[in-house]
Amino acid sequence: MTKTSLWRGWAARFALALVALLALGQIAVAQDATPSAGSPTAAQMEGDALVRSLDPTAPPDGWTIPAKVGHVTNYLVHEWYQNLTKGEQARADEWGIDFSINDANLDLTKSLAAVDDYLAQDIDVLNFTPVNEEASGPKITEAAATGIPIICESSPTDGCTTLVSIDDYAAGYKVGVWAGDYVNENLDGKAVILDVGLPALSTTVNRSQGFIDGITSVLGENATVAQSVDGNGLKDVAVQVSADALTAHPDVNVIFGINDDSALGGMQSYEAAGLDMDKLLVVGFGCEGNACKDALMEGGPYKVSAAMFPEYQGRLLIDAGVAAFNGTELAPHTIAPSTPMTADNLADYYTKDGDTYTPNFDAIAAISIEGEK
Amino acid sequence: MSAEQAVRPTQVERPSGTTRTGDSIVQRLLSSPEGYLFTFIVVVWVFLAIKSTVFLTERNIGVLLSQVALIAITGFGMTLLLIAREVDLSVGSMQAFVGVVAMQAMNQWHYLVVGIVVAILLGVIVGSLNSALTLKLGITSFIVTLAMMQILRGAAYTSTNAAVQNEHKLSSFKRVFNGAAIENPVRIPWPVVIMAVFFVIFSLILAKTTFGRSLYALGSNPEAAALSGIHVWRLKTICFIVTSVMAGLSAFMLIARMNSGQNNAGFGFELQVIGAVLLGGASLAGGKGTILGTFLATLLLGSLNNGITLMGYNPNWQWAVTGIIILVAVFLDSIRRRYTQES
Repeated sequence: MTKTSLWRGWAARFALALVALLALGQIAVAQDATPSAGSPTAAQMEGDALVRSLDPTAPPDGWTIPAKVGHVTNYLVHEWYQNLTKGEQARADEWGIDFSINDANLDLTKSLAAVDDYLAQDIDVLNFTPVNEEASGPKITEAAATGIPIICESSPTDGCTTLVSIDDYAAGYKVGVWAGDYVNENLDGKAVILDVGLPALSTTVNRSQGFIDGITSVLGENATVAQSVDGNGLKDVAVQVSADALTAHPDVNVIFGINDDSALGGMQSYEAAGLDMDKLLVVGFGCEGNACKDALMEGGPYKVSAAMFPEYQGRLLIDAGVAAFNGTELAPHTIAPSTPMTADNLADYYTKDGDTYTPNFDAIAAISIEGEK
Repeated sequence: MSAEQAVRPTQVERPSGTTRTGDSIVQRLLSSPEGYLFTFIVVVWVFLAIKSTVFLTERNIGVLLSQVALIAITGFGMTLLLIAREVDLSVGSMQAFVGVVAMQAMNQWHYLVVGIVVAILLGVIVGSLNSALTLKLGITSFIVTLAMMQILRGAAYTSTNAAVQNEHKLSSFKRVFNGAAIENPVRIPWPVVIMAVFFVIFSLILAKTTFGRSLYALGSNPEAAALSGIHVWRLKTICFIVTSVMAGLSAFMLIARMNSGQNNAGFGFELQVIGAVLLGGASLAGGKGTILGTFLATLLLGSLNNGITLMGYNPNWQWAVTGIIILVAVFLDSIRRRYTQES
């Protein structure tokens, strides 16, 4: 066999492999929906109301305050978790609780080992954010069997006493309705949407679906999804995939991102493509950091975000743990509030002092969660 | 004996891209990694042009080449390093670390040049450390740069709260990635021009200078190269530093693209770069590789990634495509080496 013919043979095989790979790309991967929590009982509803009204300076009679609470986080370097744990720390200080954090940095093995470490330290309450909700189930169920309350955050996991999180679908729906009204008033009633999503997680799939259903409820057939891309929740990836998608769909006038980085990354690509920023609406999710809040206040195309208030969720996590430690029955899902946050109402929920945004807990607590699950 | 004289006897392989008289165009194309890649790019581009009406538009080609530039610029440095039988796994974390530090520096001093200087300086420091630890302590560069990758990622995480936003608002900053160096007759973005300049410089260095020839000799046979008077330590140190500096510059372009320094940027970037360089004809065993090959491989991978999104496929296939192509490249490289030894 000659050198050239050898190369030709491998070239043909390489080409076949590439063609096969492109064909395989057409196979869609179905995502599981978030498990339904079911309707809470009367006792659970009572417990839920108690959690939301707790005051560390005046705990209910006969209550014992847990000495140690630990949180196994999944990705502490993210601004969401930094602000969430700040909220937990502040609330733990108010209760006089020794609060600590053990971060898994997206490593499932490390996450499960951290649970064992906390159990070995005789922790009173464990807060837990799963790296992978299904894979964490057996370990959390095993930990729950020791009798300690386990308060989960972000995603439902088997064995949790309660899950503290927003209703992702409802939050997406609300912000979708807001976007639909905005499009009617400012963009001639027609929305061509780029969805910068994260299909690997049920929570983020629910956010995208809620948004699409919400905007469609207002605009009907005038709302179309030009393309859904996977930005991995990371800004550099979101910028790249959005840039590609916008070349295929330059008529996009609404960008939805499943978190701040996804929305800001999409907006960055739109600007880089030289498209008209006055004809764009950017809708974000989370608004946990200064980048989102500053973008809202700048008056550009980033008009609204489904605010999730991490500091307040941190407070709810601690309070739910204290209540469960004292035998209060909690609903499977302790719903955290979320609302469409804009330049007009941001000051209601956050007070800006220099570069710092301080949450106004009373205003956040007053946000209705009626009908959410 | 000069370094150049010493090199000549070791160059037993026909340099890639050269052909025998009488070879057909197809034979010429398939006789080198570069021709081989060029053929694949043509096939992929034709396929994508048929499947997507926007693929060959000026805008999309501009987007594609701008994205390719980030990987290619680091890849040019990595090509030198792989030729010298070393590797650098820290270039991905450099995207995060240099990004946040350069953005912080520009926010502090409000000059674009400060950010660029910081990016270059950090590249020099990291490259020097990689070189010193590898060559002085005798630890393999794989281990040293793996550790450096972790250190830099940790430094990026601890130096900022998720992201450093653009507070300097320098108008020239965004143009580094998003601006056009030439508007007519076709729009050519700055990253493409920067990539082209480095392409020419690195190609000339490898093909036309004693340094380039010495590098091939060093990678092909380090012992013989050392005996013939080539300064192995100096050459490898230059390669480490150049790779890190190029990674620093691509990090600077990345923050201009994102308009922020993200501490979670660049995950998997090192694999994309190393994969492209290997696909371009370089070998982990050293002594092989060209800048043209690296560029074409980067363009091929970039085209596939771009096409996957344009056609609406799950973009996570980009990871799989990159991984499979790295495997294919290494496999083909082993076949090529075996065949070369047999012949």
